[in-house]
Amino acid sequence: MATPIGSDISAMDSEKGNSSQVSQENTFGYIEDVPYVWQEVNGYCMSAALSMVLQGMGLDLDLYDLAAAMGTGFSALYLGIDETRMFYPGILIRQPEYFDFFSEIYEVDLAVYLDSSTDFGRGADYAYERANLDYIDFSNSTMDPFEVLRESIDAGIPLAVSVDPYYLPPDDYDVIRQYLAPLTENGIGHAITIVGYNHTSHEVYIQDPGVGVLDNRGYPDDGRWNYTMSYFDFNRAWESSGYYTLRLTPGSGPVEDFEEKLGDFICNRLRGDRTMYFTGYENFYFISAGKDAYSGMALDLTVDCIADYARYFTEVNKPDAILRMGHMFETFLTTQYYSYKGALESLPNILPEVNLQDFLDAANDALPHFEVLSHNASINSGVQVEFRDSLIFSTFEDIALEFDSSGNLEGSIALYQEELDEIGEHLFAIADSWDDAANALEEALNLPDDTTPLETSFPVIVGGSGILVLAVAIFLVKRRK
Amino acid sequence: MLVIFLVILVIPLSNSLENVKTDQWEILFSSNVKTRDILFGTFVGKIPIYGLLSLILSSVIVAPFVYVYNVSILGQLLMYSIVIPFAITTIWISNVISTALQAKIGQSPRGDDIAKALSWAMIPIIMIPAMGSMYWTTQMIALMGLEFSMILPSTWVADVLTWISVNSSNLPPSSIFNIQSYWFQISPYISLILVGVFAAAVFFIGFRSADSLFSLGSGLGSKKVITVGPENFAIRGVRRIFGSTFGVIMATSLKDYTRKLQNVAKISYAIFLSMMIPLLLAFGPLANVVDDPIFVPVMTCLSIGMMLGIFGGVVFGGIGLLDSQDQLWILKGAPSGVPKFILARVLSYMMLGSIIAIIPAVFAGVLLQLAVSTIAMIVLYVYSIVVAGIFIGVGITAFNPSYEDSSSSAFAVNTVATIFITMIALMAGLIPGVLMAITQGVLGPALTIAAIPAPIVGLVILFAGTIKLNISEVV
Repeated sequence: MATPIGSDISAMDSEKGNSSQVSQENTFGYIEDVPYVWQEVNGYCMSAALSMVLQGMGLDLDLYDLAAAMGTGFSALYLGIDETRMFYPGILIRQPEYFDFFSEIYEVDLAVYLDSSTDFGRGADYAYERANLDYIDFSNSTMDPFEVLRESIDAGIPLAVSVDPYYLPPDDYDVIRQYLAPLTENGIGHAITIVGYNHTSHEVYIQDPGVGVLDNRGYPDDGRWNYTMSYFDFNRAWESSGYYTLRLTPGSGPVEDFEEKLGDFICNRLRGDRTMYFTGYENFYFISAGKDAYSGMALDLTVDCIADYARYFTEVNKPDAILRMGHMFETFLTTQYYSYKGALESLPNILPEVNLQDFLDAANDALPHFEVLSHNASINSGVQVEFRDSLIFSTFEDIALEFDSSGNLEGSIALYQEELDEIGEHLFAIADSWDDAANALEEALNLPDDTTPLETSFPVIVGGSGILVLAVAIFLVKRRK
Repeated sequence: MLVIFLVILVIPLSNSLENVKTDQWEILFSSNVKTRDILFGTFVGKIPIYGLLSLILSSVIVAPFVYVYNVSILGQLLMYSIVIPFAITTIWISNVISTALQAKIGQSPRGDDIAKALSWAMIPIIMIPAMGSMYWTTQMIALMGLEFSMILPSTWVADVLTWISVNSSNLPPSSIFNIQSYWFQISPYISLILVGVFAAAVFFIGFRSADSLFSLGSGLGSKKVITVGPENFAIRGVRRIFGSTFGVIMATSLKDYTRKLQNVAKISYAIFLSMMIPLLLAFGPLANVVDDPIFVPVMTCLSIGMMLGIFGGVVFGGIGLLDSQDQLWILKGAPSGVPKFILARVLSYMMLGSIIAIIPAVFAGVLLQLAVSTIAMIVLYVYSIVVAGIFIGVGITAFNPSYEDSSSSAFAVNTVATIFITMIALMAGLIPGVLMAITQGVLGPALTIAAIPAPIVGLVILFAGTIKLNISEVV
């Protein structure tokens, strides 16, 4: 019987805490041969860092395997209200919940650490509180972050930590030092993997999945992803990122109903189950999830809607706002495209016992449409927007230029309605594909049919009303007698 | 929407039960007036005042939609065109029920008392599920696995209103899509049809049932023979404690008050309202905001005290004190009749007041998980305020007796004066008490300070009222 990749517990046990790789002295620890995982696209740093940790533990899960097993490749969200028209790829939506789900189905123990007394830690603390997930707060504990680091390395398991790239040594991050500032409460941190420490020289050994991503430098063949930082410098980067840390320890392996759980999770992500995406916020009508993220974005590509968005900006800033809207749509759609494509390729390895042919046929229908709506230059853009010739970017660029010259907002948008409709058609096609894929996966796994509220409530309404009418009728007849 | 629906339903119902008018109907019936004409006439008569109430409540419903979704004028008009007919339908239901109830109980010997009691009891009976629905709907849905509110007409109307408002708003199409896809359990078109069918059915059934529901006549309940049973242990205890002479006055006072259903209903209503406060504190919007060992008991005392202080005055003063001028004449004929009578009344009210002080205070303490000593302090504080309310209410009624006429100007003046003086007396104690609680963080001394002024003010009014009643001439 085929087993899902990353479920080989014996491999995990042999890798974990191997004395030949880890010094047993408390002054030095180093885990050798941890495979390097490059994050490829912005946003995948923690997934890449976790992939290194998992592979260090013996679980053979690469970046795209995680996109499938965590469901990030099959998730999307669109937010359309006031001056916000933003599409979010799966990886940027409530990451803690993915990690929790992954640790649950693979039965690996996940301990989350953060320090809520720091600015960034406060944000992480809120995210975990909101998701009702357990974590250890350094500010309420006698634990020392470096102690956790050393313990994990001593146990033979690399550690995934969030850091502020502003303080990281590679020159890849010079652009951040030049244009941006250290992290604030709601900023976006970076994640790296710690593979060793030297308590005598006060150094940590790092594998950084993010070098080469910014400024389109590409895969770091020169090996600069592997570097050392002093405790002092590393502490600055770690502290600025709220000491946010994910520590994994081996558990008992995938749960018994692994296939059903993962399948159900993916179906709900594709369909956009609002409770699963944002429990407690289901009534936030301006958020669309899963397939609805694509159809929602498509619906909002109208003259009135884009004009309403642009009105939140001053006349001078309107062209830039319109241009950035197109840029961000394309950037995040491209990000989603790669993770979706990769997750589709990985899923048959994750669920080897399941006949996924119908699912893949339906899901692959979305790929040509993603292809049309994506462009590599979008995700390679650094601080400055890189101009390119693509359907989304060019359309919004043309609208912005037209408005810049004419000053007529509605008229400028209306001129490109045909292109907007074309974008909308591709988005609707992706939405349909995700819906069909969810249905196919549900069928392949024999999952219980997710009935819609209408179907469950209608008999209640009809039945309830019927009983009421009957009761009144009986009462009246009895009175007559 | 359910709460507003029930408010429109219960207020006319409660008000019409205050004054049973079956005698008038008999006169009308003798002139060959049909029952359905009476039904329709009373309904039309209610429309102006309750229609106005509905209009005000309608704007309360429409305004949030307008604010959030920026609903167009046309959309607002459409919303009103749904809300107002629904409100009128609700008034019709209320009218049918109240007329039926009046017809049922109006002819019985205690009909007026029962109707008045019902008018008080109606509000908690109807509002408890409404309040519950506001806080526990989610749990109910989770428990039943179904959206049970979908069988309620108020939900259909709410859905139709939401549908109209979002479609005449400036929301992005994606938001409208989400609302239409995920907020509505059934299609708004079906909801609209259901609302129409409901309104038509309600009017049809109301008219059709007029003859059978509103047949006047004494029912079986009214033919009950009143028997005198042995006195309960409480009354026997009162007789024993207060001796043979004063004990008789005390026992009579207690019996006289508790015999009337409307008085029992008023006490129950006061207890119900006071118990709502800790419920809201424990589960309401402030439940997770404040968790302070001083603030929570102080807030509990403050809110229960204010509620029961006013109720103490209104429930025990007013029509409960003196039945008629004849009774006053008899009292004045006896040596120290009036002071003894007032003393007996006040003491018996204080005994009953202990019930309405202890139940909500202990309930609040248990619900909010307060210490036993804190609960005891709350009980004492609340009781002192209830007693103050009794003193003020009885004192003012003694000043200006309203007898049993709840529609007299004296009754209205007494009620307003009782509420006003009780509030002032309460505030006089609360301000220094709360300040002490905030600045020094001590509960016991703060509550002691808060509890002192009101009973003193009450005693002064009570003495003055008794003297006034004693020297007043019986007309």
